[in-house]
Amino acid sequence: MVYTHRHPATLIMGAIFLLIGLATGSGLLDGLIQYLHAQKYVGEMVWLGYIFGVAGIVVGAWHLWGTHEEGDLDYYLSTVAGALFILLVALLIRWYVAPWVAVISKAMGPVMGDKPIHKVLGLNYVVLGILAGILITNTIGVPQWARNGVRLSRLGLKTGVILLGTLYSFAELAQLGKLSVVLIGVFVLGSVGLVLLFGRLRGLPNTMTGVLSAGMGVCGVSATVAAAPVVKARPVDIAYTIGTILIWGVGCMFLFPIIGHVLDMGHVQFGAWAGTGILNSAQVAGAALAYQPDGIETLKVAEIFNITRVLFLPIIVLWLALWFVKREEGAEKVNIGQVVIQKFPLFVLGFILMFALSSTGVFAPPQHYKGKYFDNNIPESKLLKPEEAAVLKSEIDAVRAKKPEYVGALERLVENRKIMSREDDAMIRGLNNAKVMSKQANKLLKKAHKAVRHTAKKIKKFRQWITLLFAFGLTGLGMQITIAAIRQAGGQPLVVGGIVGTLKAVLSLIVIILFVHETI
Amino acid sequence: MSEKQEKDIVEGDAQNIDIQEVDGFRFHRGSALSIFGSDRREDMMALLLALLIALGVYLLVP
Amino acid sequence: MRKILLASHGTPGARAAERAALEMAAAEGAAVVHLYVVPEFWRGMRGDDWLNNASTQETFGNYVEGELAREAREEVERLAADARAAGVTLSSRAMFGAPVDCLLKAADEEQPDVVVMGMPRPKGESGYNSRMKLDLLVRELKVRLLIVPREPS
Repeated sequence: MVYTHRHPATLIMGAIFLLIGLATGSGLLDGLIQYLHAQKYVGEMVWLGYIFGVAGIVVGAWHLWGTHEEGDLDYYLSTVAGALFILLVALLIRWYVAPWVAVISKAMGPVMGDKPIHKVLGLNYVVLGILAGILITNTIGVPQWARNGVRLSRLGLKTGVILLGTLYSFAELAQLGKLSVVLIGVFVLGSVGLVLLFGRLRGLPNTMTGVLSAGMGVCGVSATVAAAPVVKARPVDIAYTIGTILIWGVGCMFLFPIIGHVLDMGHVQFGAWAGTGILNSAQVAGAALAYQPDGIETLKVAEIFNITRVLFLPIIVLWLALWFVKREEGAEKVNIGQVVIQKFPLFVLGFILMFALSSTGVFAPPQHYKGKYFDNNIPESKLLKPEEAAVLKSEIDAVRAKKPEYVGALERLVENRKIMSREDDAMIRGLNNAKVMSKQANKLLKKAHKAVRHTAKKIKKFRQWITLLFAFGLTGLGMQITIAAIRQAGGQPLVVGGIVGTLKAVLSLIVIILFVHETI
Repeated sequence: MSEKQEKDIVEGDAQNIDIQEVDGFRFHRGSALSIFGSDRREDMMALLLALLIALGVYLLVP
Repeated sequence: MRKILLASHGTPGARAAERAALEMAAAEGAAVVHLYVVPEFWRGMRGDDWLNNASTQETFGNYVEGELAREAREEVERLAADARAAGVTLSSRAMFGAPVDCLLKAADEEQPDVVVMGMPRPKGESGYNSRMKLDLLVRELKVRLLIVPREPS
């Protein structure tokens, strides 16, 4: 089969990208960009516009006028059309649609506290991208020429997850890992058990309870897909369950950020909650990016939870297999080794490899925290001036009277005119927050803190790449969600799923609010 | 299920996205999410891509 | 009358249509063509799963296809047995797609004298959410259409 479609689409998309690059580079779009407050994307518009523009035009010309024979060249090059299609959708939304939505929303004024509606709903480019994907699939459909390339979206997501490995420090990963194993362990196993119990109480068939418990427990659709053949689910059970999970997932992607904003949750709290409470893994990433579009601290937390869930998936499948074998006569015996090998997602090892690479310090000093790190090897010009140090010195006695624990760090700062250690840095920040000193002194504390805090530029670049890859992958995933499948939600799975899903979301929210704090 | 499909599944190497025929019924699978012949290859490609990006960032970003 | 096209999944509503079609065929000496549609929403049933390995997805796909084929075969065989008992010639065809598209296509190809089908499922009764779009059907269908009401249970 020849996969390339002789279609001008790739050429046209290339031309659009090139035009964007040229028009932005020459300043033709300045007015529009100013109106949209999209200045931060100008660099991207130019260089991504050129790169994708040239690639699209070259490959597009080949698609249109080249001779295509069955083979690897045809197969792989044909994917460029679909890849550019997703990129065009994702980037047009990132550069123009999302900023435009923000402009309109701000013009409508704040709706909740000081937050405008797009902030509350988390309508940033990732969420809008997923929605655009769903919209395209259910209206015009993914065009034939793009079909082969849309299947690159999973590669994008996997690459994004692997690259995420660069952003964690040892302490962070250890802490998040522990937290996620505890929360996921309790809530996943809890909801699987609860569904099995519910099923027995309501007299549902084992095939239905089996497949529903997997879907409600871990990773939504993925778990249903993995568990359905194991528990010999009937087609109608599968349709009900997957429909229920899809509608639940898309709903949560909007509901969770709203609740998160109402409760003013921290990034770690929200990431942990989304990672525990949202059923479908793609929507976990979507909700995390919806909650915090400008940084990816929330995504970092949520993805650790996602990875933990993936690692739990074989355990659940095994459990269900054993449960089913015990209950149904004639069920096939399970080969534990084979299940684990078949289900193990190898890209998780890639994440760990990238983390190991990053902790050697090639991208940022290994003790970095959220891409920032402490280094007081600073030039003379960055030290506090002697008269500034004198201002701080004059207030030491006042500090000693009110907050004696900060005096040591302050004295060292006055003596050296710079912060001497990470511990001192934390104390100085605490002193600043305590607001016991004069305004002028507080400003100086901030200045001293900034002088020794460095942002790793490489980490910043990684963040941009990761959000781009996630936007690409999630937009492509949106194109897999059909309304026809969502409409199959119904029957007992909708009732039981609704109850267990809500319980899981509410209980995990309570546990997280009570026990998880911004200490990571 | 054809012999080839069975072999693919056993070896964990299945990614046949063309029209499938089972018991005389023809279904066209919705587009799967991968263009690669196997997951292992996709995982390796993702790792390679990630390493390339990392190398690019390492060399080009000061 | 020589040919009746009967659309049925074996749901309670369709059973009444089956009986009516077989009775008519027996009385008129017509043949019945049984149309069984596998609705196209199954195409989206892997949803946005991206975590599973291809082998897992393939196992799922083959499993679902096998189950759907088994259900189809069971329905076809059940109706064939009913037809034999009524002394009616019956042939079956299975199609994959939107129910209304499949019925229109089958009607076009088979050129029956009448199309027979059951009433839409009443609200509240469980089942797949894949209704025949009646307005589209009556606008496009070029042969007579008989919709058989349910028999009171």
